[in-house]
Amino acid sequence: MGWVDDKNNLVQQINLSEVLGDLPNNKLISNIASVKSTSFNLVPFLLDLMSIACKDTSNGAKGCLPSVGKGANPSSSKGAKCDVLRVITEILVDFFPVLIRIVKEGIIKGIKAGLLCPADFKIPSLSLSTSVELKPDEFDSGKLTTLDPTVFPASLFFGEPDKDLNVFLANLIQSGVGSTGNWKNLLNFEVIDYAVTSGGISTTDLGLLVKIDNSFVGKEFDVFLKDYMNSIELFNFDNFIPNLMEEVNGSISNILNNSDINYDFSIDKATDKEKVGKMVEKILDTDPCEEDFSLSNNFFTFNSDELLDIEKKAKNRLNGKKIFNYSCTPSAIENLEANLKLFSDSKEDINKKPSEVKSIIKSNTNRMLNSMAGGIGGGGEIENIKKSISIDLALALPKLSTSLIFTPKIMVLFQVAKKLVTNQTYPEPNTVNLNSVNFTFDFAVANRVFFEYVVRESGAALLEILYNQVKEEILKIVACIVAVLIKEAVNKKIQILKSLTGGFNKVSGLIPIKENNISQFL
Amino acid sequence: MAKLGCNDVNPNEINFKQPRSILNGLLSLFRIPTTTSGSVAPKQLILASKSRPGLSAKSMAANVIQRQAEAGLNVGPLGTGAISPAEIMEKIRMEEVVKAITTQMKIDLAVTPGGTSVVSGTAGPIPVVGNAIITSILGGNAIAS
Repeated sequence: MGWVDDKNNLVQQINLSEVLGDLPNNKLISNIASVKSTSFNLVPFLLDLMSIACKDTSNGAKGCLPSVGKGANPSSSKGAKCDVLRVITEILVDFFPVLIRIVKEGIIKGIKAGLLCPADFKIPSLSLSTSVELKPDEFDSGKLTTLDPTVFPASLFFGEPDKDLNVFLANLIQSGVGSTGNWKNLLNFEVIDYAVTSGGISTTDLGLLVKIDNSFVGKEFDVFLKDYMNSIELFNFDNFIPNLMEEVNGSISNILNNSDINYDFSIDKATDKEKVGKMVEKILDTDPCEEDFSLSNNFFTFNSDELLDIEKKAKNRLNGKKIFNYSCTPSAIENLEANLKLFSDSKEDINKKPSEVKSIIKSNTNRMLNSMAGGIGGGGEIENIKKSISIDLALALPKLSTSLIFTPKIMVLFQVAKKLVTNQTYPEPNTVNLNSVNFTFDFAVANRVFFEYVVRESGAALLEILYNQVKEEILKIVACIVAVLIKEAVNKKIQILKSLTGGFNKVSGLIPIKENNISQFL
Repeated sequence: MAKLGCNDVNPNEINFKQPRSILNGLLSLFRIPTTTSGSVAPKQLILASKSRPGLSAKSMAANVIQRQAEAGLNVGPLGTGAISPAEIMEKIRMEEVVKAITTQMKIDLAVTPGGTSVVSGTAGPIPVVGNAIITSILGGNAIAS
C-alpha cells in the first residue's frame, strides 16, 4: 500500500473507532494536509494524529473513555487534555530528558559512523594524535566563546557553568593566551596564539590546544565518547524554549547583533544557517530505507526556487523575523525581546524553587505564545494561532539538535575524534580553503555521514516521543472498542435467548418481539 | 554497506529512523484479537426458532427510521407534509436486503459427527433395536425467511 494510503488508512481507523465507540470526532481527513503529503517526515502527521486520536470526555464524548480509575484523565474536567498546544508544550517540556538522552546517543553514533570507526580501539599513550590545535572557526564558527555567558541575551545560549562546556570554554578563552583548564578529567585545554593570514596580512587569533586527558590512555575510545557525552549538558532546560525560538526566527541573534559588537551575524551567516536548515528538511523528507535511497549531492545543492526561498528566510532571520502563514495571510513573528527576557529573569525563581521549574517554563512558554499569537490575530483566533506556532516549534526541534553540533562542545569532540582516528582535523590541509561564513554548510557537506546521522537521530528522538504519546491515545480507543465489541456479543446472545424463550404463547408459539409503527408505509 | 538506521534494530521493534516502521507500528495497534464464540443457545432452544415470525422489511425499516434521531437526523414527514425521501429509501433498502436474504441467500449445513441414532432390523427371525453413532459429517441446505 502507498505511503499516503497508509496514512489515510490510519486516520480512517480512528474515524471508524469514533463511530463504533461513540467517541467525539474531529476534522475531516481531507482537511489534514499532513495526510496528503508525500514527505516521509512524520512529525507533522503524528502531531495531527495526536490531535485526532486524543479523546476527551469533557468535550461531548458519550463513549467508553475512562472517567475514573487509572485510565482517567484528571484534567478532563477543564477540557484541556486534548488541546494540541498542551500536548506540544508537554512534549517540549516534560519529555526534555528523553530527547536529550536520544540525541546524545545519536551524536555518538554519528561520530562513529562519520569516521568509519567502530570505537572499540584503545586510546594510545604519548601520541600526537591525542592532541589537536584548533583555529577559532574550527571549533566555534558561531563566535559563542567571545560572548559573556552571564549577560542577557547571550546568557540564553549557555547553561550552567559546571555543566556546559561552552561556558567553560568561553571563560577560558576570554582569560587570554596561556590559560589552561581541565574538563572533568576528560579533556585538557590551553588557549594559544594561532597564526592567521587574512588578505595577505599575517596576524594571530586565539586558538585552542585540546588534549585527551592522560587518565583515558589505554581505555577504549567508546568509553571516552560516552563519558564525554555524559559530562556535558547538551541543552540547558531553562533556555530550551528560547533556543527553539532562535531556531525558528533568529530572535536571540538579532538582539545580540544590535547590542554586542563581538557578535557578527551577517546575511552570509544567516544564509548559511538557512541552507543547513534546508538540508535538514530534505534529509527528513526522505526514507533512508527506500531501495533507491542514497545521500546524493541533491541534498546539498539547491535549485533556483530553493535558493530564492533560502535568501528570503535569511533576510528575515537577520532581522529576527519569521513569516508565518496563518489563514493564507502572511504575518511576522518578531520583537520577542521581552518574552525572551522572561525566561532569563525566571532563572532566579527556578533556583529558589527547583521543584517548580516545569510549571515556570510552561507558564513562560504560554506567555510567549500568547504574545506571538496576539501580534498575528485576535479574539477566537488566538488559540488556533498558538497551536500553529507551537507546531512550528516542534518541527524546529530536529534543526535545533543539529545546530548544536556546530557549537564548541560538540565541535571539540568531533575534531579530537577525527584527529585520533584519521590523524587529521576538519578541514583537512590542502583541501578547499573554506570561507568561514559558510562553515556550517561546508562542514555538513564534507561530513555528510555524521551530519545525516545526527539529523536522523534527532528526528527519530522526536518521533519516538510523539509515537509513544499517539500510541497511548490509540490504545485507549482500541480498549474502548474492544469493550464495545464484547458488550455487543453479550447483548446479541441475550437477545437471541430472549427471542427464543420470551413471550411463549400456547396458541401461536412465539410472539413477535416488538410491534413497530409502520403505518406510514402501508 | 547497510543503509543508515535500516538494519540496526530488532525487526519486531519500531525503528524510529524508518518512517514506514512507525506507520506499521501504529496500524498494528488497531488489530483487535478475535476469539471463537461457542454456540449461541442450547440446541433445544434453537429448535424453538421455528416459531419465529421471519424477517419483515417494513418492520426493519421502521426500526431503523425510529433510531434515526440517534444519528441526529429528523424523523417523520418533511415540512411540506411529504414522506421523507430518506425514509422511503430506508424502506427500499430493507426490502432489497430481505429480498436478497430470502431469495438468494444460500445456507449449507454440516452436522457435527458424534450424534446417536436408533437403528432397527432383524437378526434372522429376531427383531433387533440398537443405538448407532453417526461418524460421518451430514450435510444439508436451508433457506432463510
